[in-house]
Amino acid sequence: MSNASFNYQDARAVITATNLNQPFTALKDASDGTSGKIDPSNTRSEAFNRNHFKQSVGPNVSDSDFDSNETVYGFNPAQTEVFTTIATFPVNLALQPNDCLRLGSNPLVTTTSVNTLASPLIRSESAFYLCWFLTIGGVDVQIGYPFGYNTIVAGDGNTGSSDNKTLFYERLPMSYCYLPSIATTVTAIKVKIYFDDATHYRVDLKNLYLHYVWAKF
Amino acid sequence: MPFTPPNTFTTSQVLQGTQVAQNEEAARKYINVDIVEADLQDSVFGDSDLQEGEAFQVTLDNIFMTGDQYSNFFAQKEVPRQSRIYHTSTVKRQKPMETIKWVAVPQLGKQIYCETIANVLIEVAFFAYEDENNDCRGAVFPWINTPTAGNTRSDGQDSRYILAIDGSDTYAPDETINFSFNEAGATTIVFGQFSVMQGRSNFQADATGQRKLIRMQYLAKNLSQGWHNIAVLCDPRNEWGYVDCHVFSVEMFYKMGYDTVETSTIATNRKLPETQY
Repeated sequence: MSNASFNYQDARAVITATNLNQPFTALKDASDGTSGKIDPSNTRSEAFNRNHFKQSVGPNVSDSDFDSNETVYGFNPAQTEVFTTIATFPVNLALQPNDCLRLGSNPLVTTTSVNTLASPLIRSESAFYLCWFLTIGGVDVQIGYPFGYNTIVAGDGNTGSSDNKTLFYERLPMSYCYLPSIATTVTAIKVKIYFDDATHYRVDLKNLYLHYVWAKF
Repeated sequence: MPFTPPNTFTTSQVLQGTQVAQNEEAARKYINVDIVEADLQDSVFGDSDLQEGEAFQVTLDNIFMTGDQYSNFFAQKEVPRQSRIYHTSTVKRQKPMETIKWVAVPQLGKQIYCETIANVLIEVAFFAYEDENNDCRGAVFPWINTPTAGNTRSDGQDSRYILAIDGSDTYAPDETINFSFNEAGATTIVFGQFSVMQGRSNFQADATGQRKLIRMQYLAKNLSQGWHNIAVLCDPRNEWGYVDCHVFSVEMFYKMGYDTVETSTIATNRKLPETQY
């Protein structure tokens, strides 16, 4: 840890060039590596991170909320047990190991039963998941665990017949903080959906309002 | 750039006060605003370095903003009646032909101050309840004498919420509906009954009250320097309903980096408008 001590002129002492230079030399030496550099923990205390530094470049939040038109997923056996992209948000973020990429999304969801099943349903027939991916080096890399949603328990609280087991105009908020351990260039942020069984429900998604916050610590 | 003193003093040089002042000003400016990342020691950053979100104490949130944070939260397992935030559609009786009347939801609003142009992330989540409606007491809207096909229940009985910034709404209201009954989405309003919600099959306990989590998340871009009002508004269409547990969060993100910062533009030296708030 760099430490600069300042010795100022004593009262009534003869002014010397050495004493005059001392505080400024100490600050120079403590910042240019002569005696050390600035302790980074001093620059990210409390609410402040390095985003406020001079010469910091790049956006610290996304340019705009990523909106999306209504699209239907599910009711398609081909989407069973695979991740299907529901949103692609092109970015160009050169993340450093001391960065934090905070992701947020708030999709508006309506699910509809398209295949009446006996009650009660089991999870594999009624659950779907949303998950974050980052495109790194042209490859979609899953980050974090999938957020799971179950059509039985959400929405109207209904436990009756299966055709009422719906999510109707519900928002399914999700967020994640990505802390890279090495320098990482991200070219896209994606959200994907996963069905245990994509046969019995259709999931209408729109207005994802995807955004990111890029914090440099 | 590391700090470099503008003047280096040498023995036998005539001491100029302006040169000392110049060095002092340069040191002050460097410490305040001119430090760059290259001046920092290398460090490893991990989740143990994250600042816990003191502002909330509800969930294990963390602070990631570069500016101020405002919050208001209330969470209790069984919310007592006096702690609920009620709304009612019956205030519209004064103007019965008015179909929309937005009212503020107390505790879900904030006036914020931006030191400079800022991006503001607003996140709101709350539980909203809507109870039984009563046509006979005039609480069903809109007032259409002869409802025709195409007028849905959601046109008439479902309370809606919006997030407003300086009086302009952000979300489309139909994205934040709180249903007052088991909404099928396309059924024509039936007038003259006590309530279309009564007696519906498959509804929880055959009662109309139900709870819904309403959540809004909005990134307001480039709010100007100065004061701004953020508020959650409700268009109450039910005779009574209420909001109880809620989390309201406002985070401010200023532009990364400073071009130049002079004494007169530093926030603590900025004079605020002489306005009573």
